Formats: sequence, C-alpha cells, structure tokens
Amino acid sequence: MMNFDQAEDKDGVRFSWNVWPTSRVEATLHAANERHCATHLPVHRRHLSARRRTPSADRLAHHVALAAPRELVRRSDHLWFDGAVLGSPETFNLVSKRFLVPVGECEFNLTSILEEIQKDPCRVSSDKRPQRATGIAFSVAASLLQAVAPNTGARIMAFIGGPATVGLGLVVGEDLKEPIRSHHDIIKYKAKHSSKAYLHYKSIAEQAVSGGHVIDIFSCSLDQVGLYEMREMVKMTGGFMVLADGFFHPMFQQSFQKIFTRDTEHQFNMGYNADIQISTSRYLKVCGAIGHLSSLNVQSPNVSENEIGIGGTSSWKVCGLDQNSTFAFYFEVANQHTNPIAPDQPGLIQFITTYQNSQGKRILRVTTVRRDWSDTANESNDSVSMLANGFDQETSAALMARLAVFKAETEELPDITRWLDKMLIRLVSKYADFRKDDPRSFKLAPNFAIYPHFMFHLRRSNFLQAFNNSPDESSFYRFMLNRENVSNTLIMIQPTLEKYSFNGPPEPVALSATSITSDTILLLDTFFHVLIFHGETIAKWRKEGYDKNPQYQNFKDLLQAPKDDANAILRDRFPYPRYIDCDQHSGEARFLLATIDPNLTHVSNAQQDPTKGEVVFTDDVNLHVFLEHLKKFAVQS
Amino acid sequence: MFLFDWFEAFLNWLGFLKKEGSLIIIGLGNAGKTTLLQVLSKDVLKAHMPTQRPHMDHFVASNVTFKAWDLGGQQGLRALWRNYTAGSSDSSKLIVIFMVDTTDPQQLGEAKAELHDALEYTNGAPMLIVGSKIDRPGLNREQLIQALDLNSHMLGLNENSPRIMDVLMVSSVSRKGVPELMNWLSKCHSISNK
Repeated sequence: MMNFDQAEDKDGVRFSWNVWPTSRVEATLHAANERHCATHLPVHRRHLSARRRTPSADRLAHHVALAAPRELVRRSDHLWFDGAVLGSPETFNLVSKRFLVPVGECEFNLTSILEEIQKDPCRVSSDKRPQRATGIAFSVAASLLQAVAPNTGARIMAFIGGPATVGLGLVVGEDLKEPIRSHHDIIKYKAKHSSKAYLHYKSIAEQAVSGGHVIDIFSCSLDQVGLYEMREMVKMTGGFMVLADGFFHPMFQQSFQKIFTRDTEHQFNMGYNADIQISTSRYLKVCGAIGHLSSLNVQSPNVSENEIGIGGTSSWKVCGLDQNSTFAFYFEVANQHTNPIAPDQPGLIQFITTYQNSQGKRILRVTTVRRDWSDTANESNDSVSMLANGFDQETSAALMARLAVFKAETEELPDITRWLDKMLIRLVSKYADFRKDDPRSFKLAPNFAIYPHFMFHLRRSNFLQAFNNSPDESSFYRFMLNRENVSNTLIMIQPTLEKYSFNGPPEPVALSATSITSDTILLLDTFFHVLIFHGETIAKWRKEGYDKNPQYQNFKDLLQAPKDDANAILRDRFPYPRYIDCDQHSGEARFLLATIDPNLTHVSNAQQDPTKGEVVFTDDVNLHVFLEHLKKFAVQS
Repeated sequence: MFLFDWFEAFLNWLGFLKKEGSLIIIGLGNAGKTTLLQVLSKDVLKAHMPTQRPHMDHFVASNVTFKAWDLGGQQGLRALWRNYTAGSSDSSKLIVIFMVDTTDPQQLGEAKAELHDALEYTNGAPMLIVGSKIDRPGLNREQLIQALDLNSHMLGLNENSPRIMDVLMVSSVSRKGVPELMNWLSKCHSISNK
C-alpha cells in the first residue's frame, strides 16, 4: 500500500486518489449541475485534491488593533514591534495617514492611552443591550487600512464582547425583549437583521480582500455576538476566529498569545497577501477550492465548468497564511473514455504560491506533484484495483467533510446527510468485495475500511447537527474544519480516545460506550475539547486520597499521565481548546457521552456492568447498525 | 401598525392564525433541559454536550407554537437568564420552565436558591417547575415541593392566583409526563392570553 503521509511530508500535498483514472467515467452524469450531485459519481472518483501548507512565514507588516479591551492589549504589548502601525479607536473616524505612525514613535502615547481607558460609564438599562456599532467599526478599520496600506499585508483584529446593536451590520436590536436569531429563525427566513448584516460584513470582506488585508475575530462572550453574520470577513481573508467564554478565559488569552509565537529566528509564523495559482498538465482541470481564500477570477483553459466550492478560477487570493492554513482543491479528469493517455504524458499539478513575509519581502514557492494514470489497457478489473490502491481514506474523509460543510451554507442539513450516505454507498459498492445481495460477504480493503466510520461520526458531528448549537457556534465549528490539515480534521470528525489503566501503557481505544469503564482514565480530544474522564472507581480512590499515600505511587502516576498528555495537546493546539477534568456520572462527562458511538444504550442493554462500558440514554443509531445498513444497501443489485 | 395588530388579533380570535408562545428553559447544569427540548421539538432522545450558548428551537403543543430558549445551566451561563426574561412583565406570553434533576439531592440547595431568585426577576411570568429523570430512583413530586420550599405557593393552573405556578414530573427517556407537560403549556398559554 502507498504511504500517503510520506508524500505529505515531502510536498505538503495529499490526494484522496493517488492513481488517476484516464477518463470521465459516465461522462453524461458528469455534466449535470453540481447541485444535483446525488446523481453523480462519488466525488472522489473524479476529484483529486491537494493540500498546501505554508512554510513558516515571517513578521507582519501592519497591524491594526480594533477596540481592544485594555487588559488584553497591555498583556500583549510586548508583542508589538518596529514595523507595526497602530490606530486607536478614537482615530477611526479620520481616515488619513496623518493618524498612523510607526509603533516606535507612539509607544509611550499609546501605552498611556491604553492605561487610561476606562469602562464606559454609561449605564445600560436592565432591559437593554449595550450599544455596539461593530459594523461601522469594521467599515472604518477596513477603509483606514485601504488608505494607508493598499495591497500590503496587514490585519484587523476585532475583540468582540457582544452583538452589534446599532448602525449598519446590527444583528439584534437594543431591546432585550427581542431575542437574537436562532437556527430556526434563519431556516424560516425570519431572522430580521441577518441577511442585511451578512451583506454588510461581506462587502467589508471584499474590500479587505482587494487590499490584501486579514480580519480576525475574537468572540469573547457567553452569548452570541453575530459570528454567523460576520463569518465571511474571516473566511474570505484567511483570518483567525476564536470563540471563547470571555476576555479572561484561557480559550481567548492562550489563543491570542499563541498567534504571536515566533520561530527560532525570532520571526512571526505568518504570511500575508498571498495568491495561489494552479497549473495542470493536459487532461486535468480544476473545479474549485474550499478553504479560507477568495477567487481571483482567472479563467484559464484548465478551469472546469463543473464548479466545486469556490470555482470558476485557477487562482485564489489568501490574505493571511500561517502554519496550519490548509486548502482543499478539487480536480477532474477531462478526457474521453475512448482516448487513451500516452505513458509519456504524466499527470502533473503545480501550485504556485507567492506571499509577503513580515519584512515586506515577496516569496515565491512552487510545488509540482505527479501522480500516475491508471492503466487503461482494456482489463477494466485491473484498472479498478489500481485506482483502489491509491485511495487515501483519511484525505477523502477530510475533503468530503469540507464539501458537506460548504453545502451547509446553502442547503438544509438533512439533505446533506442523505447526500453523504448516497456518496458512501456508491463508493463502497464500487470498491468493496462482495457477492450480489449477500451482505455477509461484504468486505472492504484496509485502505477503505475506516472511511465509513469517519462518515458515521461526521453525520452526527456539530458540523452537520444544529441542535444544541447556536448559529455562532455552528459558524465557528465549520470555520475550523475548513482551516486544518488532514490529521487535525480527522480529530474533529472522529475524536481520539486514549485509555490509561494499571494493566499496561496508555493505548488508543474505540470511541464507543464500551470503552468507558470504572477502573480506567480516558483522555478525549475532539480538537475543540480536551477532556480527562476518571472512571467511578478511580474517582473514588482519588477522593479517598490514595494518590497522596507514598505506598500508592503508581496510582499517583496513573492520575498524572493523562494530565501530561493533555498539556501537550493544549500547548500545540490553536485555538486553545476547552479543557475539562471530570469524573464518571458528572454533568461534564456528557462531553464524552455525546461524542462516543452509543453501542450500549438504555434500550439495547438493560443489564449494566460497569466493567464493560456505560449505558447512553439515546435513540441514536450506533456504528454497528450504520455499517449493517451500509452493507445491505451496497450489495443490492 | 395599529390596523395590522387589530387585524391579527381578529384573525386570532377567529382561530385562523396559529398561536405563538415563548418559553425559556432554565435550571442547573445537567438538569435535562436540552434533552427535554429535543424530545418536545423532535421527539428524539439524544445524548448532548453541556450547552455552551443559548439556543432556540420550536415545538407545537395543541394549537400553540412555542419558541423555546434553552439557556444552559453552567455557573457562568446563569447570568444570561435575566437577559432572556427581561421585558417579561409586559409580554404575558412568556412562560418559564425551571428544571430540577430529581436524582441529584446534592444540587437541590443550589437549585432552590436559583429558583427563588428567578421567581423575583421573572416578574410574575408563569413558572413551571419540572422535576426530571423520573425513570430513575429519586424524589417524588411532594418531596420536590418540600425540597424547593414551595409549600407557601399556590400550585396549579389557576386563573385566579396572582401567579401561575406548578410542579410537573417528567422523564425524557420514557416520555412519562411529556404529554401532560405539553397540555399544561397550551392551557397556561390560553389562560395568560385571555
């Protein structure tokens, strides 16, 4: 089997299919509109994809902080550097170079302004929300940057503690009697301000993109602030989005500080004002891209009419890049079945990226990757097995997840789930080994085997389930899915679970109810949450203080091991996740119970044995039932 | 606007328009608020993560469509409960559900304190106390009334009481008490909109 990780380390590119078919199989279906993709071949059959990771970039060029609360700005003032130009909120109504100076010249004034900022003395009546003109502030900041730093790397950082309530871009009125919009309101077109606000913020996003500027949003509130309406500003510019409980919460503070990490040469790990251009060899066309970029509308001959994601172009603009930025590109094979491809015509894709480092220097990077065509020489069986060997299930899952989330912008969630199911059935019925109408004979090759598991978890994830999520939370989760590389995306889709026990070293266990036992500790990583879960017995021993008794040093070590591993995750993760340390049967244990495959429920297993798992109260389908259904549908003739 | 309001009221009187009600669901973390809301709105039982941000869903009880906000019960989120009840004095349509986990005696003191606070700031809005998880061993209705110190209140759907207040017992798992809860809500809505 091919080693896809190795290729990734070398090129920074990963494909869902690493051997390419030589024709558009079933070309008639292919011509259908992407919206009717239910009638299509599985997407990964035709679309290959790549990911790019930017090399560590350098320092930022310009930097405008927008209405930052004093505490956090002071905390971070060591982060400013000579190249930075700062504007304070007071100067936002005066768009002029006169009001921007290098940080070295204004550091003293700036620091004293920040020191003197006081809480707004205006009392807000108990039935009102505070007045916030966030939409206007963004307008002013974007215009200001447009005037002083056109086509130069720069970023606007917005620290937001509540929803915009006045002026353009308001998402809810001042009156508390009017609740903020919900998913339900949005679906029913009853969200009074949403579409207007969305268009306002989108126009700011477009302005920022034209100037090459990034917009970051730090949402720091226990209630919604309007991320749903503002999301395009961050998505289109490649900015950072952080969803934290407040300005004093580590999810904000740690995330914010991490942005300013410097590499060994004391440079920031950021790139600015980039564009990515894609060239392809003959027979390959580019359908589009999904990720935090914007179209540059370059309609070169290798652009496919079949648009997927942000398509109709072979070049995209990325205003902000960092080490995690990952983009999905979708390709198709544009060749007739009857036309064999000569062996001397390799399949090539070239990524040409230019970006600006923080010293203002432009860097050009070119990555060219080659993949083989499947041998079309008539034995069709061989051709299928060649294609199958080149299937990278991890990358495919990440690409399908991005596509599903992209659809969620315009389509209803149940439809997307049905579409995912259909695509999965088509994939396995083509590549699995089985006798027709015999589900028990169904068998998947190892490089396909866990793909259905990914789809199972994706369907029930926060990316595609809106219940118990506000529109702001859904926007945030979907944003993050479109930002990270394959391995992080997989953690988001199917979180990892690690077991710690006296019976041996820590080991990964299945994400299922049967993995929860009273005498073990579990470490769950959902990317957004890092949770330590103590089984009942472990929790009891800890409460009785056995870890403080030198005689039970091994128990103390057992308690410490998952903490150390959790800390390692927290250290590297951006944004800083929610960290939870809890015991079995506690309220917080629900973070785990809601995530696992419910293969033990109150219905299926009446007898509860605490050494064999924990019962979940749910009507949800479990993985086993899902797979049984999949087999049944796949083998149907 | 006056004409439209009048027209809408007229249609309502004729029974042409669906009636709308609003509801907020509060209570300590892990009381079962989100689970109940999903049972009411989708008739599906699922395991949920603790609610992180207030969210809303809707359901129909008899002829009333209720928009229900599930506000999350973790310590920090409780500060938001007031925001969602602001203005309740002049919007008679708001009903407050306060959920209490009947299987968790350790939390009862805290629940009692939050409930009595809520009774103050919800300005006379109808208050339905829901004891949850009755499929498992725990307090019965009388014990819950005792524990929450509600003996001095007039309980029941009584038009003449200064404030509508009641205690119902439900299980989202077995659906026991759910039809009664729906029924109570629609009746309460019609009493307070008379």
